[in-house]
Amino acid sequence: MKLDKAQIEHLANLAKLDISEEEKAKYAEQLSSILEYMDKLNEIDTTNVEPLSQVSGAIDVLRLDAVKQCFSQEKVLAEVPVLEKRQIKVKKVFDHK
Amino acid sequence: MELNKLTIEEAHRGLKSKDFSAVELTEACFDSIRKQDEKLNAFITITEDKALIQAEKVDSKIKNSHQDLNVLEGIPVAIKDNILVQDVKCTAGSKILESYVATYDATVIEKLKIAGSIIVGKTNMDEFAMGSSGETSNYGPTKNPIDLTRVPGGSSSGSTVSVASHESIFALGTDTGGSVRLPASFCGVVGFKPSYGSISRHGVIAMASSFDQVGVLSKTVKDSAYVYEALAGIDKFDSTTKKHKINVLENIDQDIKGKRIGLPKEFFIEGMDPAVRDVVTSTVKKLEALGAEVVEVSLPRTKYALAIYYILVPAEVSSNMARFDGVRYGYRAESANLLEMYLKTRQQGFGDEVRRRIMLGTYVLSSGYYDAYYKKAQQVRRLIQQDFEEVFKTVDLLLTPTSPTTAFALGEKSKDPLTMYLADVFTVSVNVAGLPAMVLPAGLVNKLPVGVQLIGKQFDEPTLFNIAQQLEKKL
Repeated sequence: MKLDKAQIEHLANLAKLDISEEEKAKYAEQLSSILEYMDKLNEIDTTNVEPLSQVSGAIDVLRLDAVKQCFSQEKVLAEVPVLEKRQIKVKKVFDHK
Repeated sequence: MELNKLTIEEAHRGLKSKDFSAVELTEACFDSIRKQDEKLNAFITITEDKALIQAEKVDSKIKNSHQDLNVLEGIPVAIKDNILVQDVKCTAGSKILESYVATYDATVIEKLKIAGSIIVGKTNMDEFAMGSSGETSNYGPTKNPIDLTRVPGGSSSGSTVSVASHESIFALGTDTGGSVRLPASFCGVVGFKPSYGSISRHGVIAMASSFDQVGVLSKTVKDSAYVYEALAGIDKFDSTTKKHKINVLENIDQDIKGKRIGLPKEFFIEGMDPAVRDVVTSTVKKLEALGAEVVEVSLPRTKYALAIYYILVPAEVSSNMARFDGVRYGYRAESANLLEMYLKTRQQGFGDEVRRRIMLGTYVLSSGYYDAYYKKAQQVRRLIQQDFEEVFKTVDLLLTPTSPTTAFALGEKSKDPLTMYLADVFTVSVNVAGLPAMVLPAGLVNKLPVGVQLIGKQFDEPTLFNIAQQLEKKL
């Protein structure tokens, strides 16, 4: 599978990465060569094989829905880059045109 | 006596018989860090003040009470910087967390603190554990203490080097595809990766959640056993943890006559350094001398393990890394609007390898490619797990090389990602199937360490530790 520049731009947009022109070319080449290596999986017949998503064998581990002590709000809020009146502040979401 | 060179067992005996104090032991480690770490770069953060306060507490307990001393009590430990220690900076080797201070203790840290271990600092690592050489860290590469021009292996590069160069008595790392075992092999220490579901990952920064497991770097097999017993067990904060037999010390000294060890022929491939192969062969002879029966076995789908690993891991990475957006914690880039903030924060905050894996993972999960890559890889994952189950019907343990080569030169593989990924070719299968495995230093090739890998049945850590312990005496 060979990736072109448009596909790389699409992926960067999905992944929210602001990659440079130089990186677009680099990633197109590198991802293509990695994907080519992956193609060897097509040698294996997987008809009727159930996909395996986790290996511990645990299923549906439940807990009581009870109120408990959690992390200190002060410590958690201290990590926020921009805070105003204990609320997380970000730049505007919509541009007016 | 150089206290920092002791094992957990020796240090424990010395503390108990008051040959030296916990403060002296801890200071010996910090002296070693001060002397060497500028060139090794194993640590990102040193926690000397906190460590000495803890050591004093242990000393006063030894002096004033007749309570038994826990085996890990007063023992200096280094922690990989993707494991949260409350009120200590936790970077995961990334710029995006360069000033992040952990708000709580990971479960493994809570357990170490209860056991009384002394945390000396947080160790350098490949960014978010993505790398096999220790070179993708935002804080500069860690160097191999045996040869400073070579890589120590990754991603638990700093933790491994801190043990190999006696800056700590033991260390915690994490292992998603070999990140404890590969550096253990390259630096000549014992590296243990438990079964998936054995040790809680609560408070460990996730890379690929269906593979990640906390592991131990130590100087001996027995030291690793002490740490494993202290850390393993069910945790309500990690629903993958399962109940199983954790007592590995009980039978560790049993002889191994009649144990069956399998050599999977697919692990002895073309392109392997013949001198490394010789080390494995001589290890086989030692196992036979101990009375074990060594047989050739087959894991036919081994050659596909790396391909499915590098599909499933980036997929999980792309999803786990989505939380780093500059909103609630970590680095935030200057921007005019919210979308630009996401784009610039992630572009500037993540390094090259992390971005490459996010892109790759986004691709294999994207509409139209999901079935061809992600689902296909999950199906082959089941087949590989079945191969192991089949083989463990006839043997107790597997023995393989850890890497086709010894430690490679800094910069040698960092230009081409696929070449770097191939360094994990012998270690990833273990994580694909969720098995326990241990790397033991088995010999030297041109003065560089070579580790052999022992692979156990899922949740059969007792057999793994038993055979490893008996083999270690002959290595």
